Amino acid sequence: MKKIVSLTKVFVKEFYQNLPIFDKKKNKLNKKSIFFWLMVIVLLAITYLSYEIITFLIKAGQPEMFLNLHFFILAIVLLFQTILVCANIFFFSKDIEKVLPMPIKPVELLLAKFNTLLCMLYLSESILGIIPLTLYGFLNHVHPIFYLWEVIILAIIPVFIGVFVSTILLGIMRFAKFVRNKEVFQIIVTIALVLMVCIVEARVLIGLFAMKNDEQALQQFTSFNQKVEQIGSYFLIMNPSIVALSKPFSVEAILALIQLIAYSVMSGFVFITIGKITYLKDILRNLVSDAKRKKKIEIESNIKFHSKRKAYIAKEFKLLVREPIFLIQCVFPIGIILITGILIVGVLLPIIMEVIQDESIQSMIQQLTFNAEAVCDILIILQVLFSISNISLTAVSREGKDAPLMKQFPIGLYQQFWYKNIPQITLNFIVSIVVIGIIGYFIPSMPLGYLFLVWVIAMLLNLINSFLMLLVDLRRPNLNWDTAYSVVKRNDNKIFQYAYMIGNILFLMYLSKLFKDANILVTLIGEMFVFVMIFVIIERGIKKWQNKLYNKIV
Amino acid sequence: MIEIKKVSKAYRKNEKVIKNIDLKINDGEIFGFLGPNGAGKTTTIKMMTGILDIDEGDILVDGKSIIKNPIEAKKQIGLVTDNPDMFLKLKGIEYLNFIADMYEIEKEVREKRILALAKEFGIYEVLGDKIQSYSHGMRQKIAIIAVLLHNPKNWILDEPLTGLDPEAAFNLKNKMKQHAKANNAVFFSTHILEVAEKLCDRIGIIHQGELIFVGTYEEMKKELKENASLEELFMEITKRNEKNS
Repeated sequence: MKKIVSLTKVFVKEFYQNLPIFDKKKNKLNKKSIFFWLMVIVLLAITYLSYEIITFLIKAGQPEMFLNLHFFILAIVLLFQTILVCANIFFFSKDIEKVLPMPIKPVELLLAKFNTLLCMLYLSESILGIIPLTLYGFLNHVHPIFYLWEVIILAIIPVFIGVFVSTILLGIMRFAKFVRNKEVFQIIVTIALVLMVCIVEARVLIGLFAMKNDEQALQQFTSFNQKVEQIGSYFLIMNPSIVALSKPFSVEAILALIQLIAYSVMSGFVFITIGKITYLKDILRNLVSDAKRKKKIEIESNIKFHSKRKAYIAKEFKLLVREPIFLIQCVFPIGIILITGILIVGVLLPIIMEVIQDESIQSMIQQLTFNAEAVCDILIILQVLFSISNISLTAVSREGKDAPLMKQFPIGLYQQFWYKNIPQITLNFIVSIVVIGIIGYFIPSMPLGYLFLVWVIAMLLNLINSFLMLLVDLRRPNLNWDTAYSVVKRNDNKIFQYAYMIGNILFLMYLSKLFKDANILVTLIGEMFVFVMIFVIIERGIKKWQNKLYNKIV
Repeated sequence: MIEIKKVSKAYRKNEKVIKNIDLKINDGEIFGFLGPNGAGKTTTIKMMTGILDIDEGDILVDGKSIIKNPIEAKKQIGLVTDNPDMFLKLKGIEYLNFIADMYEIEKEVREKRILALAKEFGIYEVLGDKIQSYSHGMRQKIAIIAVLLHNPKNWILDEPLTGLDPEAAFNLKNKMKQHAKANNAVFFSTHILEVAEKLCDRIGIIHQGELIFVGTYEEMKKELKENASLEELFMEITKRNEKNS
């Protein structure tokens, strides 16, 4: 038991110190961190939303419906989180290798790892779970015993969900070969979950759009409530939790709690039994799998001739895509935004079209003109999207100790500067096509020729943005990193991206004022000329000073 | 042939880490570059290969200046660094193919060389695996193969024997000898004095950024002590330089 506690302490401490809201040096919460304030905002938003929903349901005489809604959301969030982190905690975390040589039984390691998972879930629950339920109790003037049940239930739910997912994971690790490939596994799970989240978001949004008055909203809630009750019967812990809290001062509540505890104990027993048999074997197999897994590839057929440019650019893409952290941090955020955007647009299209049929809105749309302000708005949206991905901003740093190799190759540094920018330019190219495509589709009054010119300006912004960010990375590279995470997540250079984004937005606004009374074609050509000039100056500068620009790469 | 012409380098103003080095590595010779830790061996090598800027002087590789004509000069160089951890996410074969692309090696030639070298260094079987799964020695081997691929006239090797198993070390030493015999230049830095003693035609000793001795082992013995090993001579010469400075 002592060993489990000590191990848990070490793992948990490591986890909390790695959270961006935690100041490692001062050993306390970092109030300067944007994540800290994001958490505060989320807490306030949850409180407000819960208050609104509870008061609405009290007015409608259906307050218990809130418990269904709340436990459904809580269970989904905790389930997602567990799936996302579970494999990493149990099988892929670096500390396992350090702990394995110690005289620790597999079950002790398993339980310590499970406790770490539990701590993560409790942290999420403290944000999502406590306030809404307490608020519910307070607004409904419930019996004080409600709060005791609340504590017990909130303590049990993560245990059950954690055990449930971990047991499945233990089974998957036993039988599924692909899971042994850490990179593929992490990417597949992330993509699947992101898509699920996007679909759920889209469905919720449809619901919100469809609600035109309180009566309809209540109908929506009732139908949702019925679905949740059906799901609850499959999700063992949901219905007992709801029963215990909706009738706190009853025998049924006690029975429901006993049921909850029994489910958790039984599933815990299954988890430990399976874990005892499989856990250590699978960890060891996972640790050596890279070395053992010799994919027999035909060496001769892999020897091919490519031009320097093609080979270099292919190398850039391969190194970006094959490191999951680089891929997830540099490409995924913008991917998620685009997928969400497309999903929302796709799913909401019929509803929006219906809304658009409204006469007043139709006349509003007809009044929309394609002027300097519209150009400015589109370009601002694109500039913000271009700033999300950090491919160019980390293009040199990502190579770490390999970076000096680029000075060994018999290729000009200026050419390499272009090649290194290609992944960022390509991604932003896709972003600009998607965004301008959506705008063109939804606002038919926008002439296609003008939209094309806007896209050309957007590509100039893309080139300028990518070049400047690579310049920042060249001048302030972080080459001596140990973990890929530190290159993309703890990167001080991001401040330059944000500063540039704000500066460019202000500049675009200034240009829109400058061309306010001008003809739209003059505006577009004028802006194009301005950005071509800026790009040419930057590009000439890079060509001229190429050797000096690379002098930090040694 | 590599000519280092009065080269100096300072990382900070008035703090030269390389002081006016003047050295010529002739075709057909193996030149051993020795010196204690922090003496300036790696800095010199980095300047020779264009990784570091040169503050004063110039370096010519087969007559081509690394400052004025870096691309042509780099084509004549093959560098093995002391850190063989390169592009770990690429498979061995992808890395070698990439290097072959960088040096524009014909398909037939690269195929022949990759297969022959991989078999010779005993890593053919793992060429399909990612480099991150290789041991240190295997990484060192693939780095060496990458250098040998474009068959440069001038080899520059920074501690090349570190981490190699005896067979691979033996192969590499033989390759160095063959390369020099074919009228090419081999410049290598090492801490292993026995290797330098047996392998090198000439030795250069760098200490605190200064080239304090250049010559053959025999010349060094004549200058210092007869019957002394290279190790003893090395200690003697570096101590003497410390006293003088």
